[in-house]
Amino acid sequence: MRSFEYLAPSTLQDALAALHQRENASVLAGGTDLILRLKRREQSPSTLVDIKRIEELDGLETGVHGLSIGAGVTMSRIEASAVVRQDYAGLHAGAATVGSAQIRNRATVVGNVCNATPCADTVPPLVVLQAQVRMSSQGGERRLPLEQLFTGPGTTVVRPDEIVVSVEVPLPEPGTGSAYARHSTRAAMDLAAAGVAVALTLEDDNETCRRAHIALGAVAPTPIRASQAEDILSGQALTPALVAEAARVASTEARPISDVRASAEFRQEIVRVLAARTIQAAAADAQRRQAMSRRSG
Amino acid sequence: MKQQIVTKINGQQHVLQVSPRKTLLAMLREQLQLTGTKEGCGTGDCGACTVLLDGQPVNSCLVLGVEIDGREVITIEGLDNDGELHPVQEALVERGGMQCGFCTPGIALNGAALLQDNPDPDEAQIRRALAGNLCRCTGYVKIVEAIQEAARKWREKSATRTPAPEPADG
Repeated sequence: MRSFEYLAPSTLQDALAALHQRENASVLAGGTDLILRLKRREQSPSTLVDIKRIEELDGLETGVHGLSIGAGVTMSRIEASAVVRQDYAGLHAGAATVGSAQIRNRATVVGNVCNATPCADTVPPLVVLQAQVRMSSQGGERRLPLEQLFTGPGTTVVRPDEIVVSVEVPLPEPGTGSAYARHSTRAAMDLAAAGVAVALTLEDDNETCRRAHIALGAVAPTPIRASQAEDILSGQALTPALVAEAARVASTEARPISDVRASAEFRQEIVRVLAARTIQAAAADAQRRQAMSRRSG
Repeated sequence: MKQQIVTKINGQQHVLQVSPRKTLLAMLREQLQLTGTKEGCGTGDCGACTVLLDGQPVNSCLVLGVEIDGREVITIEGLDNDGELHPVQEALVERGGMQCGFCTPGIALNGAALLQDNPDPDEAQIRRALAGNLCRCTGYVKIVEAIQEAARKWREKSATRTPAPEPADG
């Protein structure tokens, strides 16, 4: 690791000022990716701005409008949240899949988003749950749909003087369920060869799909939507044949590469299998949430 | 340039001068001679460097020393209670949950943290909790048995101190 200046401001304002004043500064959150890159000298910032002391970035807020995940919130906190498990099952599954207990105690959701690896486990679930990203700089604040954040593997539209302060996830409307599944060679401590997230909204009959969102991870330069597969499901009864057809189409929308984790052909096939399972799982989650809300209503 | 940090390590307060690029692992081993914490991969994959940071297991190879300013760290040297082994340590010894011993400090700390959260873990929960601790000797069977045994001891101990523990939230 090359030497660097280390700052740990206690306010967002101070952190933004530090980023504004310095060339070549990096934001440090959980550090599970960044410290690795520093060790490998893939990145050698002159300053690290540690944002973990900033209280206003540490909130995991749940409410009637949705979920607000501050930049300091770790995977473990997502995993431990009963509300996330209840209403954002796909995100819960994604966060629980990351690394090991040790990694999940440090790694943050916002860090997972900002690193922009195509195989990030929380990104496809956040995309199908229509998450927005909130960014701050000294110039002000802006918001973007998460889908529009990524420009390629490891690259985003976040500027060097900006901090992603939170990811905002709207509360899924009644009748909506979500799910995430991924395939990796090892059951734990491995990166996804392919991942599929689905959010479905069912009509009152609990069978017809009103709307579907499907996102694929690790099969394109950025996480992508499988919009043709979504169109197949919309307005139709979720028969096994329809689910199989949507899954087949989703696999044709994947644009995978061959690498150390899997061949392109295998990834394409895995997307078909995972998509079918995840569509069913999201529908089951929608029915479960529907039943819960009827009971409490 | 070195920065001053104030931290509690194994219950004892330390004021340390640390270079920002030094990892917590290097600081523990080189500055404090706490060599029970091992460096395996150095990339957060093997768990040999596991310590408890504010009670939670983390890979100390992926934490900077300066990051623990104002925080509390427990290493394997601080897991016992005045010379009395922690139930997880005791069970690892009794059940043969170790061979070469290199992964053992990390496994003991991670196992202890697991029981703190979940005093009655099933095998799947133990295996999931220890997924980030690689052992190349044992094949894990004895380690899992040891954690199960430790959980029994842990519950007995808690029962003598406090009313019966709440059932774990799966």
